[in-house]
Amino acid sequence: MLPFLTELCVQQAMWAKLISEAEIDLPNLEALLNKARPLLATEATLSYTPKKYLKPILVDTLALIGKHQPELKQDLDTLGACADHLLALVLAGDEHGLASWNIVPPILLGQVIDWLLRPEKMALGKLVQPLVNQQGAWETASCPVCGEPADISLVLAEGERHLGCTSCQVSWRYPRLQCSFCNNEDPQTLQYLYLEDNQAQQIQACHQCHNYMKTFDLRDAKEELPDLMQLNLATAHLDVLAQITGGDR
Amino acid sequence: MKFSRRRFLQMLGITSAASVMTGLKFFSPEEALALENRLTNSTTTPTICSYCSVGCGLLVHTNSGTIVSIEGDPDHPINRGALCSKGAASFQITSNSKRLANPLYRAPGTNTWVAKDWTWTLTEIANRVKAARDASFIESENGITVNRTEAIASLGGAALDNEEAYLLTKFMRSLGVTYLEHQARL
Repeated sequence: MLPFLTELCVQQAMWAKLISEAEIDLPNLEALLNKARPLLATEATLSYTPKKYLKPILVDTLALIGKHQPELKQDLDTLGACADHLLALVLAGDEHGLASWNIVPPILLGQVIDWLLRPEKMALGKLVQPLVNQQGAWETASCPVCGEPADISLVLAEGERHLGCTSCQVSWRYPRLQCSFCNNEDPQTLQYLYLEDNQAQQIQACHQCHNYMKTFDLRDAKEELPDLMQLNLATAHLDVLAQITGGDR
Repeated sequence: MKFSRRRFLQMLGITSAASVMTGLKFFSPEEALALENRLTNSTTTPTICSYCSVGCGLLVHTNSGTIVSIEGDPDHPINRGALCSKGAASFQITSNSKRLANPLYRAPGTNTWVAKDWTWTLTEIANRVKAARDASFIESENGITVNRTEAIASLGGAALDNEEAYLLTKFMRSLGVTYLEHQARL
């Protein structure tokens, strides 16, 4: 699974770069964020970036899945043949239409749509990143781009903690000793679980709300910020461990 | 990532992580189930540095009651994670074998330090304070009652909190000490 993930994330990063180099028609970004509403909050469709990229991204994504999972060929070809209809439904935000469109298993359809939309969110994330790095700039635990709850946590240079959204490849400053689900700040009920020889990968477990958050200490990393979705999925063993020791998600 | 001197000083006790993606061990969910007994846990407690009165924030990481590492608290408004060289070495309070374990006493005219216990030490200090005070106590001067001793001085420091400074003042004044000083005189 790791080779597929790696290729997928590289592909998505390339598309995100192309999108961000194109004209992104954004109203005053700071004013938007100052209202503490995520960028995509009021938009059912993605209206900030040109849509011409969606079709080639879809084609690329289907091809990549097919390369690694040839047994899905038939379903992938079906989706490819109905690409325009699929994109029309997505752009219209027609959730009902998508839910009742049973040409391929829903789980595959849902995953393809997720991955299809990711490059655009990554491009928006890149724009938003400089505005949310300071303490207090974005004080909620939900993503400033898509509004979903943070699904990953990082410790960056100088020990600063950031929550991150793996979908939008964006991170924002957040207090170290605070549960992002219930705001618990009691250090005695926040526990950090890790495998002995891997202290940089921790599970922050909150004993008040029983949620957990995977935390990665990237202070000594010698490379750029890794792709957060890849990091999250490649460490699925931590989720297993967190959940069998009593964590919920 | 830049490698700063401050970061080096903070590395006492912290295991360094290899590059993220290449150092990542990938376990399947089945393998993960078998790892449950290799899971350790730590608690992180915020506290204040014990040295000067700036009061920088620290994060102390403990594992079953043993301190495993100490770093600056990046969310503390005073220092925002930075520590001076003394504060950064706080971990050594718990770990450095060169720390004295007993009071040491060198008798007058000798050149060796002898380890003493606290009972002897505190009794000896009390006796000498009393002796010095009694020998030097001035009840009155030029007809004015002064009740003071100039043979003892008290020097406080920034690590004293308000309650300790208050008790120290009360104690010293009751002895008659006038040389009552403090490092941070503001």
